[in-house]
Amino acid sequence: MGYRISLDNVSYKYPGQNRYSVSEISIKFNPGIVYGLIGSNGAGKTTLLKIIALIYKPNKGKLLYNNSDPWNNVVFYRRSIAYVHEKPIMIRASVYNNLAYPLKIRGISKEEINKRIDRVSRLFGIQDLLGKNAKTLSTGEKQIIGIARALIYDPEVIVLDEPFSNLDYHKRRILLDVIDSQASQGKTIILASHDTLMIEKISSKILVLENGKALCFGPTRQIIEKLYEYSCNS
Amino acid sequence: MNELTTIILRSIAISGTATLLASAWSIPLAYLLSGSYRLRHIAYLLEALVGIPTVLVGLLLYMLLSNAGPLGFLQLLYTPQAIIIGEALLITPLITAVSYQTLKETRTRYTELALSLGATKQQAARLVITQSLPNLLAAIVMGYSRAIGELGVALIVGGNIKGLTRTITTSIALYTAMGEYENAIMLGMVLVLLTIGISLLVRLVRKRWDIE
Ligand SMILES: Nc1ncnc2c1ncn2[C@@H]1O[C@H](COP(=O)(O)OP(=O)(O)O)[C@@H](O)[C@H]1O
Ligand SMILES: [Mg+2]
Repeated sequence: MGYRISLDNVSYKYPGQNRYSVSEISIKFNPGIVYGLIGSNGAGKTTLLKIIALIYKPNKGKLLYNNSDPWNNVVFYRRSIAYVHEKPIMIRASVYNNLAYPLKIRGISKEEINKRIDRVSRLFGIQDLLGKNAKTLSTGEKQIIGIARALIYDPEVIVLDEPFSNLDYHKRRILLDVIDSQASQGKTIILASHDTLMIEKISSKILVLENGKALCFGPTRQIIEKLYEYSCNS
Repeated sequence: MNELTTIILRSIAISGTATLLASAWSIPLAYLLSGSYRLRHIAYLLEALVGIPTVLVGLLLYMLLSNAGPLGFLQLLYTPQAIIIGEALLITPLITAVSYQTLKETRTRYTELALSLGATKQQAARLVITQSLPNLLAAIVMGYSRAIGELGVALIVGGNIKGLTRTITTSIALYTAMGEYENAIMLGMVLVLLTIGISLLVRLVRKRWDIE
């Protein structure tokens, strides 16, 4: 079961900056629902996702996972989160070793690693890539490997930054199906994209960010209508 | 063994030891600096010192190590050890600055990646280092090339003593002064081969690395 993640007046400022990149966000994310995060470039989507994924610690406000402070046991919580960067980061190694990395650091056995790599590479149709040098893949291939690498440890929370941007039609289809099935398994899912169309298609709730602030939040249909009418207000 | 061979081997040993020594403190220092916003000025300072003249390092070390100097009691002047120390100091800014650049680039990315995939702090640090290794190796080779090719330190604190501190570069200077150009040119070519050879070797290692 995914975690209930709640943010209470959360703000974040990058070191050396004087402006908050995420400012006083309050919101609750529930398991089994796909949340979409939209906003123009620089709105704060990536920063907010990194706060949710326990990569950045908020300077102000409170972040809770099922009513506990995840920062008190941060490695434990991170191990149940999939976070995929918008620009996929590959380890200098084969695709196989990239997929194996999160399992190796958890001390999982070789056989189990092979089993899971087999399963996940079938799911995403990437069997042919396993022996390749990950650094030489196309951006789209890297993106899908990044997602596969984060789902391989069966996380409870799935946080994807611009997951569709580099994917072709076929891979988008696969990813949409995977997200749907993860949601029905009760995972907490948060996606950010500047591609409103994809977000509208996959998410049931949308948060609109602007200048680091929450502009409006609600069911997808309602928010999209408001966006068309330029009447978004929290 | 003939004298030229001894000189070549001595040069490799001295510069190699100096490089290892300098790397042993420069790379941890670079890692430390790359993780701190406040310490970045130290990195800028070291960057500025990358091209420090070898004779200047030689002179400063000479003043420290000479009998009247504060470290004179160590009796290190005109020993291979003195050259090792001098060359290690000489290439410290170079190795640190180049390592700092590559670590600063990889550190944020790979730390974030490792943590997001569930790594502990130590596991994340290990990933950063292994991902930077090819570039760190390049930094080390640059340091080695500068050490083996420098003259100022070897001449001033080594003293070009036959059978003890004579290196490739000090020999070249001597042979040239004596008009024995043939030997000078021969050693010069060996020097070029040594620096080119090591960087080719590293290139090969890096290639292997990426495939793994
Ligand atoms: N590493 C960083 N250091 C300083 N400022 C940053 C950094 N990353 C992002 N910012 C700033 O934070 C704001 C939000 O950026 P980001 O979260 O990347 O937005 P988005 O993902 O919506 O495009 C922007 O103003 C950006 O300039
Ligand atoms: Mg972004």
